[in-house]
Amino acid sequence: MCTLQLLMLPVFVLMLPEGAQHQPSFFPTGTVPTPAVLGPVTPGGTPQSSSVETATPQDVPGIFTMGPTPVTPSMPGNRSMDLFPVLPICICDLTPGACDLNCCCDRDCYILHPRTVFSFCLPGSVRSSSWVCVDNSLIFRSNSPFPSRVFTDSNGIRQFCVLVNNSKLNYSQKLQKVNATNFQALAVEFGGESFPSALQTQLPPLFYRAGDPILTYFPKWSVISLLRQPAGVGTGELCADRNPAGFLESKSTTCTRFFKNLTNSCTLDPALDAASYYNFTVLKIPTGLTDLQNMKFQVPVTLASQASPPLLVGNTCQNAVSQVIYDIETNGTFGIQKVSVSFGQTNLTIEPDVSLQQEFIIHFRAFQQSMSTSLTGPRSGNPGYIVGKPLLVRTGDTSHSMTLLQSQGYGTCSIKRYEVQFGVNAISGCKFRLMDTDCSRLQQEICQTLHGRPTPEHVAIFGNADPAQKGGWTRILRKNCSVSIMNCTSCCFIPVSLEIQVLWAYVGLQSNPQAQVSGARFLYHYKTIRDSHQGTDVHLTTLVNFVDITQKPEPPKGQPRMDWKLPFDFFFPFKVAFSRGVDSQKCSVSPILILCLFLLGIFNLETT
Amino acid sequence: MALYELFSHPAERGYRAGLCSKAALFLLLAAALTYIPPLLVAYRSHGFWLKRSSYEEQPTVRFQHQVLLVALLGPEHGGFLAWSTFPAFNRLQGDHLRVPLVSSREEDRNQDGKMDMLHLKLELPLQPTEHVLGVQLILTFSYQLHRMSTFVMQSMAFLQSSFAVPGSQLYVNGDLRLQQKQPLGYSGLDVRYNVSVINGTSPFAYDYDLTHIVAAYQERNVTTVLNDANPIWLVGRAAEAPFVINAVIRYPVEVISYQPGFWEMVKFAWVQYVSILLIFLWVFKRIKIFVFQNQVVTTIPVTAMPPGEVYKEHLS
Repeated sequence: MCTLQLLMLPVFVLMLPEGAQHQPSFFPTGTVPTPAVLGPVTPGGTPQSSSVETATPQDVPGIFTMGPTPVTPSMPGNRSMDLFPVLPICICDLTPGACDLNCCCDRDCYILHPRTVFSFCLPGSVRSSSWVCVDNSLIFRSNSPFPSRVFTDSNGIRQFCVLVNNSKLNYSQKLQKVNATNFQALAVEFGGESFPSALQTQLPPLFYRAGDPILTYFPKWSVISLLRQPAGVGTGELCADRNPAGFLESKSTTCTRFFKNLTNSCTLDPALDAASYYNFTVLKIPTGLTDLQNMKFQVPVTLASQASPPLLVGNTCQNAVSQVIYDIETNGTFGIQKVSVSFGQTNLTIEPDVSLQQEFIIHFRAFQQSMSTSLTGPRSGNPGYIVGKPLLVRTGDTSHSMTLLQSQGYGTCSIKRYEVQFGVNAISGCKFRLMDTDCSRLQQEICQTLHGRPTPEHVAIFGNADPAQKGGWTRILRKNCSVSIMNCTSCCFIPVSLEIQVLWAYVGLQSNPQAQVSGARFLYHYKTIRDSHQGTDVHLTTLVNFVDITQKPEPPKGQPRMDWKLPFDFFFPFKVAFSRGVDSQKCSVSPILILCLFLLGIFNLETT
Repeated sequence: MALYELFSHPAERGYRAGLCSKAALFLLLAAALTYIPPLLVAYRSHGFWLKRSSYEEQPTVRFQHQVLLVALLGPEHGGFLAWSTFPAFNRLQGDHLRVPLVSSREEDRNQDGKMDMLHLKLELPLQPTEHVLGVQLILTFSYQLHRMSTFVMQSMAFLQSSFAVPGSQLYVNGDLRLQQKQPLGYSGLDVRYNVSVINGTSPFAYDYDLTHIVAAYQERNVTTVLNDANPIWLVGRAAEAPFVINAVIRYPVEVISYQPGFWEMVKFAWVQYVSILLIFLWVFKRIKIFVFQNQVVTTIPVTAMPPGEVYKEHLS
């Protein structure tokens, strides 16, 4: 809109002298109608005294901006007031009863012509108007419907200015009525993102849903809280105690606690005290909040195993909690039926800086689900193995998972073993101290360290294998772990490394392939040691390698194989255009249309 | 009934002159000016010969299951812990050797036969008083490109991260990017860099020196780098807990620059030349028609047109 005005201005300027020359009679003073003498002429055709020219277009937001103009002192007051009228609202009058600097509308200033004193007028203190100016000599007569005026700039050049009716300056927002009923609607309609308000309290739901925090009640203090499952948070593994447990979300978390002064913390820190993990009741359903005295809605936490409070004995803190296991029985919308807790406890040596890793396990069971079924352990897939799940092995009639040895802090072999995950290659090792003098006993000990106890004999073909059904298992190919060599009597042939190779493949439909173990074997690597080497360390290594032996079927027609170098992208642009067309039918028309036009163009070119 | 011009065709006209005449000389000059300047224009405006081009390909990357780890410990314990999959390196370490538990898995997300990412988890057991302040880790990969030239190399991802506070875990999630100092060929087999990054058969400590490994690797013109500006360092390790390195390394689609072959270069040059030539042909055709129609050079016109249309000549 603004640019349109600017564009039209030269037209206006060019047209005007021509048109004006044809109508000299309109000029009342009868002066010679040449553009050069147009100076005193003002819009509306009324002759005006030269005093008007004293106005400076300095603060005129028109297209012509000029430097500061000295105000002609001979300016009559009332005219000046006309140009810079005192505004009804003076936005810069901030100190009542005193004159604000450069505030031309401040009535406290008592200055008739504020511009004579102030170096400039603050924006908003004079009426804003939009002037568009041209050189005065170009104008013969103005027939513009807008008010116009002649200004003199600093160089003494007279400018003919037109006050453009800029609707933007007069625009004001239509005021909307706000009352209690439409307040929220308006806030939602016009509101964007804002800072969130504090947590809103809401009515407790009728029953727990999966992922809901579980409410607990401390009768001793009449405090309502949430069942907590401390977990590591932020950039560290430090325990965040307020992490809530989610309903039906069975999971385990580990986190670390640090104690500066264990002598005090041992008996005072609730995190080390088993009692703090069961001295409350669990609300069966969230609506139990409404009636906390009614024990019908509350389930006490029962102790599954004995737990003693922490005890400071000499230089050790005994019975510090290292593991908390909650076993929660649920019954659909009837909520929690039974909660039991068991603890793992450890003794801590008192040192300046002590850290303790705690494990929190929360296990949910459906109501009356027998403990025995949950003890069989989870499947590793149904039927095909899922990547990352334990690899199932069987010894005799019991099923367990394949493990690798693991080293502890000092590099020695740990009792803890790493559970082999399906599809994840792994390597681990540890230092083993040769203590036994008898070669065959030594061999047996090392063999057990290498493949764990009991020694796996079969491996499950699918992740849902049942130990009772022999068909679901395949024998692990292996040679005897302990081997004796004949030609050396004083030396012992000990296995130092076990390589577990698992061949697996996808079977079934290509759209839903199931991973199955095709076979597994144990490979041992041996080392000869002299009998005199007792007390030295050997490095034991176990590793597992998964090899995918899936033979992919021939790809369907039209799909290139990875290693082909044939020109499959010969029709690339068309392929892209038409494959997009499948997504939206509208778009498929345009490439065809372009193609048709293109062909038509070629056809035309050839004929002409 | 109104009549429309439904069809028209231009008529041929011949001009005869001797081979040593002015007309022949003019034609020779015109031909030279038609065909040579477009070549000069196309060449001098740069880019006439396509010297470098690029294509997109997802590389075939496989983790070679070679790991070299150096964990730098806090000052009170001094020194470092080291481990690698190379027995010779482990033998050299003596007391500094600490065997971690390493598990790795490569994943083909879109089932296209090319691996898309590597999950690697390394758990280094530590004594309660040991604190890890820094980590240097080398993983090696076999890297192959097939689309233009068959390019095979063994490359590495080098990760170095340290923090002032003793860490419990280092989390890395980045891309294995290709870095080229020179374009690859357009065809053939390129096995220049199909040599192992770390000489695992060597018994000498020099071959396992990180500065030497990195220096030798950077000599290559084509390398891979692990692109993760900000590995996340988690603190707060419990006394008996191991130090864990958790890495996710992705193998993204790369834009590979290559030197185009002869025919590709000629094709692009031809396209440029002919498009400029067309303008020159049109201009010189007009000039020649003007020259010959107006008899600027003396020739004998031979008309092949049917009589009756000859009168139109006077108009030009």
